[in-house]
Amino acid sequence: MNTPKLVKKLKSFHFFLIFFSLFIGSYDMAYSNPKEWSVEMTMAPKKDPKYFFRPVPDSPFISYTSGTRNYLLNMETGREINIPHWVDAIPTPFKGLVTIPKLVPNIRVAPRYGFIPEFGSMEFYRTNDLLKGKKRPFFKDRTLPGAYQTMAIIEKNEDKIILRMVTESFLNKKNVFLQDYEILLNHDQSPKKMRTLYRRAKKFCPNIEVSLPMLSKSGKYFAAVDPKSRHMKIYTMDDKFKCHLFKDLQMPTGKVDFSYDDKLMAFHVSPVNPKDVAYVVKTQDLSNQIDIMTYNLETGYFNWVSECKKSNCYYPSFTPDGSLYYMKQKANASYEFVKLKRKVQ
Amino acid sequence: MKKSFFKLTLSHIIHLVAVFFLVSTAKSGFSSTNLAPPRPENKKSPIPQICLDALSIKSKVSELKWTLRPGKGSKGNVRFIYQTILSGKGGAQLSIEKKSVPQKTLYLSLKTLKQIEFYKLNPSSPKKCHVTLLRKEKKTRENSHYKLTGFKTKTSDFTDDDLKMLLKESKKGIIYLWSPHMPYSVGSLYPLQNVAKKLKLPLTILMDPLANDKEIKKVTKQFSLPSKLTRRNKAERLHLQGASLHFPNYFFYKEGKISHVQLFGAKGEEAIHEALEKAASK
Repeated sequence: MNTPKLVKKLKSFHFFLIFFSLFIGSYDMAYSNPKEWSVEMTMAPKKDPKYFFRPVPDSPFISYTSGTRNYLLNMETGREINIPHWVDAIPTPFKGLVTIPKLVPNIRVAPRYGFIPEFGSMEFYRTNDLLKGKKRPFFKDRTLPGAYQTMAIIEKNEDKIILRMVTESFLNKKNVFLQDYEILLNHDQSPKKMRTLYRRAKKFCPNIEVSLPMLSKSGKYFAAVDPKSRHMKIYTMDDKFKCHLFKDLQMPTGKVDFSYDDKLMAFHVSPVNPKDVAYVVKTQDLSNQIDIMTYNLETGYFNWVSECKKSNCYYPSFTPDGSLYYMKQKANASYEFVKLKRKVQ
Repeated sequence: MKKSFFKLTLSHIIHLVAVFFLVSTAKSGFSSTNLAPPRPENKKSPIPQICLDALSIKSKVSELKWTLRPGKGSKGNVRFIYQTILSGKGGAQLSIEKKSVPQKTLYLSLKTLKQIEFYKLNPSSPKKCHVTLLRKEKKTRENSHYKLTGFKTKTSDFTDDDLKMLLKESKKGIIYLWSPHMPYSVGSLYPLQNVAKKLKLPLTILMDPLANDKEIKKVTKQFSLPSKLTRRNKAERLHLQGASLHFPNYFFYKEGKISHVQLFGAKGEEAIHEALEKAASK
């Protein structure tokens, strides 16, 4: 290469460097971007909701509880449908079913107040049946004790799904249990037939103590509270259902939900009060006590979802298209469900 | 020609250095904000002993149990703040934030029941920690974290002062946090009361500080709950330990100290018994 050509090449490189310097100089790029999410829709339920709710995948519906009833709320129209029972109606990670523990409140046992939540069975309802007002369960499982159910799709093809459910027993036992189900599908992907794969529920993580586990949608990970450190930790599970620590988030968090691609986790936390911190910065929002963060399992980055100014936001939950729902308790103590769309994938 | 070529390459080198500097600055800005905090296997205390000594804090860093809590930065970034409760100094709360600029600076606040002191610390060598008092603020109810409209602290609420008194007055006991918004937390009241009665343990029942008044009325009526069960937990010390993130949750205390053993979620009598045994053995 002769010298003038080299100089010409270097000159263009020079321009590239200046341009690149300008680009890199934008320091803001290095920070988390609260504009990563935008509000797609909000809907105030007709009745004050309990805290826990879940979206029904690939549908405009969310399930929530108010008073002593479970509901499906259409986020687009505001229409509400009564569904059976009164706690934790949790849809499966595919649209087909909604699971609801049948608890028997026995107020007469407690002479003055309270009730003993007796576990009856885990009931599986076809989502389409519930939308039509039908209240007959499609399947009942009496092998799996407890509640706080969480689910993963272990295997999926056109005519079959293997669904895993984990529950925590609370009636005089503290164990976490696991059951797998084979669900045969119709041509339209609605559930046709269902059976348990184990005669008795398996003990979940017999080698370690965990509380309130939440499975990732593929079953690859689960997050649970370590009752000794109070930290939320992420674990993996081997073929013998033994569990292994994958990551310690080193902080207490609310219930975790994983994105369908296993890349993001969302949870609510209690942000530190800025007035308690010596290094002063002007923050965008000082007034909320519960807010939502995401943790990226691939990059290890934490980010604020940051849509909860002067409100408290709870129980984030992903949908298959990557959207994120949460419940917002506003400053005037009213509630709404919020659906966020992710701008950056 | 040779001269101009030399000039160009020198200018390129300067730019390359500048680019490298900017890339590394941007990266360090990122890692100091959003990246995961130091890994758990690196169990180093966020503050060196020499700095605690310089602040006349008698605790040993190896004995302090730190909780990481996220904070909010000016551009929506995540700040990582380590907090702990000192057993001396009347249960004061220490909050520490690390900053890489200026080099190895720690920003520390020491919050007692009466005031908050803010410091800048520079551990310049293993034997020296330079302490600068930034400011002092009297602690008022407005400093409290519970200041949303409708959630202002009332005299009946359970505060850090009440917690201090409880730990001082009773040798051991259970603190139970429930929420009218979480049905299982109502259901767990009865087995817990049974255990406390059998073991003759004092039981302090506190409610979700953010519970909605309408929901409280509805649930207390439905289950005939006495109003004494609706005392809101405003003790920041419990809040620091994740008291508002799950309901129900159980704290156990013994000899003036809250046990590290904590239960989350609804539990039957057997599980509560087992947790009490574990708490007693620590």
